[in-house]
Amino acid sequence: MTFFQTSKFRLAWLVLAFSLFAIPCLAQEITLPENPLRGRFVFEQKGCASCHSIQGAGGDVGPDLGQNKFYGSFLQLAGTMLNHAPEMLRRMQELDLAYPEFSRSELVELFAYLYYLRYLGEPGDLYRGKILVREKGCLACHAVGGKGGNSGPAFDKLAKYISPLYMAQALWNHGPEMERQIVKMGLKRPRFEKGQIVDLSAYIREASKGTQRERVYMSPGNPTRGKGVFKEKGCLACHALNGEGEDIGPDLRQSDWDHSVTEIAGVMWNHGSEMAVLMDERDIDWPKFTGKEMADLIAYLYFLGFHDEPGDSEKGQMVFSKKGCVNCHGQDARGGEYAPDLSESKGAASPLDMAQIMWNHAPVMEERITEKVMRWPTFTGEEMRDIYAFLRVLSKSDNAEPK
Amino acid sequence: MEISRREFLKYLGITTAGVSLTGLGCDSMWSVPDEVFEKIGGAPRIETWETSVCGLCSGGCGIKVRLIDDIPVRILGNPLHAVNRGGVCPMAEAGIEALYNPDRIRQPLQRIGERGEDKWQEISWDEAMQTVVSRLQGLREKNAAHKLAFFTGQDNNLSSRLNERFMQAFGSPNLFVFDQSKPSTVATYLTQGHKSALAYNFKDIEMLINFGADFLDEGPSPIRFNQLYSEFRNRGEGRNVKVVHVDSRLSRTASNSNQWLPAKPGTMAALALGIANVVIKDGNYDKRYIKTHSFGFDDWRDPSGNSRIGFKALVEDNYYPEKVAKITGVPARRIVEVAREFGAAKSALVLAGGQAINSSNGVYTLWAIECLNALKGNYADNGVISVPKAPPFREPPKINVDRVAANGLKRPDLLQSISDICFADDAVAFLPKTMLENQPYQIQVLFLANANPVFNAVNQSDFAAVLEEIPFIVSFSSSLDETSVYADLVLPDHVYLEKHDVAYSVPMVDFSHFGMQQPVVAPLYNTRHTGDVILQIAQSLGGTVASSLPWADTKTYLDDHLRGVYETGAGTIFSERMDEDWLKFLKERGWQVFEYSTFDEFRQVLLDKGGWWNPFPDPTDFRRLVKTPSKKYEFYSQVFEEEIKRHLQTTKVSKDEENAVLQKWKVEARGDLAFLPHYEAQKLRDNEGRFPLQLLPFKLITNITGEGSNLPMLQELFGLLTRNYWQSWVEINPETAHDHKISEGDMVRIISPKGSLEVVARLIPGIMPGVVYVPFGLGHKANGRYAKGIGVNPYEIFLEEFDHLSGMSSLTSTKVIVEKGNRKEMA
Repeated sequence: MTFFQTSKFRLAWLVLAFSLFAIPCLAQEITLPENPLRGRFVFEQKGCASCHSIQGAGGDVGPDLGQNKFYGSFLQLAGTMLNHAPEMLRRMQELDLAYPEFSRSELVELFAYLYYLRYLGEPGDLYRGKILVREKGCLACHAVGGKGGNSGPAFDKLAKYISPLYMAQALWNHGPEMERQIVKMGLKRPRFEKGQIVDLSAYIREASKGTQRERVYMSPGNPTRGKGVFKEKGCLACHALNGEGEDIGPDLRQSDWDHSVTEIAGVMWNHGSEMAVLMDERDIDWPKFTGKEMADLIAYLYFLGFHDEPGDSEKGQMVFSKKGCVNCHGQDARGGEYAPDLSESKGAASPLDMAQIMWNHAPVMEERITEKVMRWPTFTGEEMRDIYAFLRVLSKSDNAEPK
Repeated sequence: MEISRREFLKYLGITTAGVSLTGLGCDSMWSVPDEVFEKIGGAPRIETWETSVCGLCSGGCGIKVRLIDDIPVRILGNPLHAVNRGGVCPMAEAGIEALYNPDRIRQPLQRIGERGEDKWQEISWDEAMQTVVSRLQGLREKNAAHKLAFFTGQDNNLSSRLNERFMQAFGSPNLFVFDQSKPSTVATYLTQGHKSALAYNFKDIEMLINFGADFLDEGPSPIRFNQLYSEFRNRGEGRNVKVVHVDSRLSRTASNSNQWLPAKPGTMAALALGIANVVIKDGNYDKRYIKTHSFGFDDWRDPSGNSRIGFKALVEDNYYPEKVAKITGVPARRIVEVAREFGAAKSALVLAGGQAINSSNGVYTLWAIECLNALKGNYADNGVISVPKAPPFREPPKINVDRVAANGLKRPDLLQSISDICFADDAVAFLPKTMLENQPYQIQVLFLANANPVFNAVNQSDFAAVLEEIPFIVSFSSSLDETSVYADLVLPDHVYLEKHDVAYSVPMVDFSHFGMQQPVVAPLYNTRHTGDVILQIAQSLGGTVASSLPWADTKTYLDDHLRGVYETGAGTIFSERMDEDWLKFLKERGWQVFEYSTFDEFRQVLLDKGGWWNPFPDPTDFRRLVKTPSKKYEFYSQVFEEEIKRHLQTTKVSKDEENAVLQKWKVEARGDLAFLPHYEAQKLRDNEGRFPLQLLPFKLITNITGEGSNLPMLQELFGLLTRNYWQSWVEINPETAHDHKISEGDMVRIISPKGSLEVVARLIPGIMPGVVYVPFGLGHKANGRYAKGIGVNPYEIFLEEFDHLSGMSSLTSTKVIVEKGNRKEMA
């Protein structure tokens, strides 16, 4: 055996490789889903609905996946799921249910669906809406049910729109016009927080005159198309994203997108005045959106939070060791008695591949861990990212190894 | 060009499917137009799929049609369709053979021979339309619009509503529906005062007692029930549904149940009341519902102070298990066991069908069975039974009625003059009785569409006689069936794969829904959508008839209705795995499932996915729906009392008058008993013993309506379970067979007072002794080369006996003798 074949050399080489690659790895972007609701079909097909509910509807064995703790980037969600795998396995055995394995597309669809739930928002409260109509001064310009001003169009026209996003869209598109009217009438520009647009919309539907049979719903936004809308409407003129565009407006990647589409539309409206000034200065036209465009655009922005920040491979190696992965996969992650060599793992191809392999192998992992009387490792989203970065380096270093 | 199916598929380069079916002996002759062959020649073999709805029965199953180079080659189920969820029966799969059937009518035909002689000449559409319009104009000129009659088949599609509209605008009250799967609503009317068809939610039930309904073979929608029965057994340990099946034959439905209770034909009312007896004695019924929402459960006093018998006393005194056991043949112990389980179940449901309805005591039987549902409180807000709403189609404009139409509509329809039937509205079997006597007037013109009473009515010879007398008959059939051969003109319809329609409200389904039928292929021949023909006739007649049917074609008419669904935004287009909770979640937040923002986009998605449904449970407010004098569920039917008063046109009825009416309606009970559910022995002709066996029919999923007989694949599959293909047979209990010296496979002659049938004998222990069963579906005298002369039609030898409360034919009243025949002689 030559020195180059010894484990010492391999370890030494690994250390060297880490030092070369111990820079933050750029996590591979998850392809934006065209229809995040497709994940619902996975949710049902794979039997998730037998145990889990969404906002109270569904099974009650596992936790409600509509809760905030199930919101997060792809790897955060993957970590949350994996952390509960042993408990899930136990309950599923008790209930004689089969452990669900996922294909790559199924897993990303499922996570995108869970992530998307908050975008869909909450139903409106018409009583709160009634109070808001007065508080926000809407009736100074608009009439509803025959009561109110007439300088703006009557709200009764909006009654057929069941989706509150239509109201948000109307607000946005008429923003500059409303702005002028508000100034002219000496009124205060309303701001909309949280679910206020939804509540207003619910009240308007209830209080409007006439019994219109027509009901107009909206299709949830398509993030892929929203990316196009972002470009087409000239948003890049002020907001930089992925190395493109100006950084006059805030960095949208840093924004908190954990809100419903209508809340995000409300935030856009609230900043409308400042935006209008900046746009005027740069001679940029006020962009108008159709309902669909607005839904798509916000879906795109919302999904910015789905992508993971790049992880740190050095930290990843520490996590690998600290969480006891080494016990099975070996000190150098080159495989042990119980688990395979991770340098050859397909999991390094993308965060999605890593999450899929980990999830699908969870029952085997659980068996081995039980045999060895060890603890099931749990990971935060950050740890998952770092582990992935470590895997990437491991895979690259292996490729670079002299034969 | 006539070509074998295998050769045709070979041309298309898909021989695998061809060979597999050829293995079943299904290498039938298909008639494929030359243009199709030309198309195949240089085509690139591109596969596509189109959704539609099967049109071969009223089950309304969603289908997906596989096309190679736009040529249909295979039919499978549409997995998104909310009713059949991807499943289809053999009839649907055989739909391709309906398209390429060599006996399809390809051009309008005019009769040149005698009525029924089946001699025709081809004529042009213009000539045919001119003849029809001229006849109809003649009627209107003579102020005799009511002398047009229309016999139609299934009516749960929108094009049937077009026929109704045409008849209204024309001025005739004589549109009659011949739909074998239409549920009887008379018992519901007697107890609840409404005639809405009921639907059932099986989601939370723990127990189901099925009185005679062979749902898995006969439906309605056998595929849905096959899926439901499978689900009943796969809910998981301790959650499965206990299914008890009552029937005199171990049908496929019975054999897929947990327990089979063989009961003598016509005795199900007694069994239901026997179960009620135990449930009431045990106190295992919904006391709150009975106390608050029912009338006539306990003994009661009428306004004159007379004591009247209640349901409870009737059942306790007369239907104790030992007595019921003697009537039904079901041991008392088993009655008690089933009743106790039924009473103890948190949620239990009772359903009925088959011989429970189609017997001379059908209404009382159904009434007794429905009472079990009342005892469980199922007509309350527990959601087990409901009356689903029709889809929110846009209401068409008001029908304009001119003077001639108004006069016509004032005339009584053909069934109104029948007085020996209590509720004659749907008693189409009684039409020959009035029509042969020209009562109340003679019909001059008859339209026939999807109705074939000369084949599927018990009194088929009477219908044939009626057709002989009608001066002018127009059939819209796409094949020359037994009834259409009596027509003067045949204006052939497209087959369902070539035309638009909307099929909605499949019976017993508890959610609002419809399926989109669309042409998956251009019409192969010179045929026309009957809806288009009706619209064209209306336009030619002009005036208010034309203005009441203003649509250019059926597609425009259908779109007009669909706009209502689009505008209301209710429900959702079919989608993968859409459950109620998820749809509710989205709708509450203002979201729709698919992307569309115009009606045209909505319609396109509808066509792509196959239809629409509203899965939200729509609890029926029975308190508002019930229209009885007491405003409650009536165990003691005051509705029936009112009906007698209405019949006698008086506000007070003497006992003698009441008895005379009951006698006319063939009700044996007198006094309070007549107005309570009870058991009456069914009317069997020839009780002297010359005909010792009772003959009953049954239907098979391989040819439910009997109209699939000209599809060779269905002939090949007909008796799949008993291995009887291209032939009929009689099912006999081995003991009975032994008594009659009949062995397995013998050719036998079944003789009734009306005629005889020759079939092969199958000895099956799952048939009660004393009863013999012959499958319905074969025995055609017309309808194409694969149908004509194959097998026997048991209806030919059924005696014409009816339930005189509903007017429905009794299929359990015929007694027969079965004799071993000489095989050679019979051959």
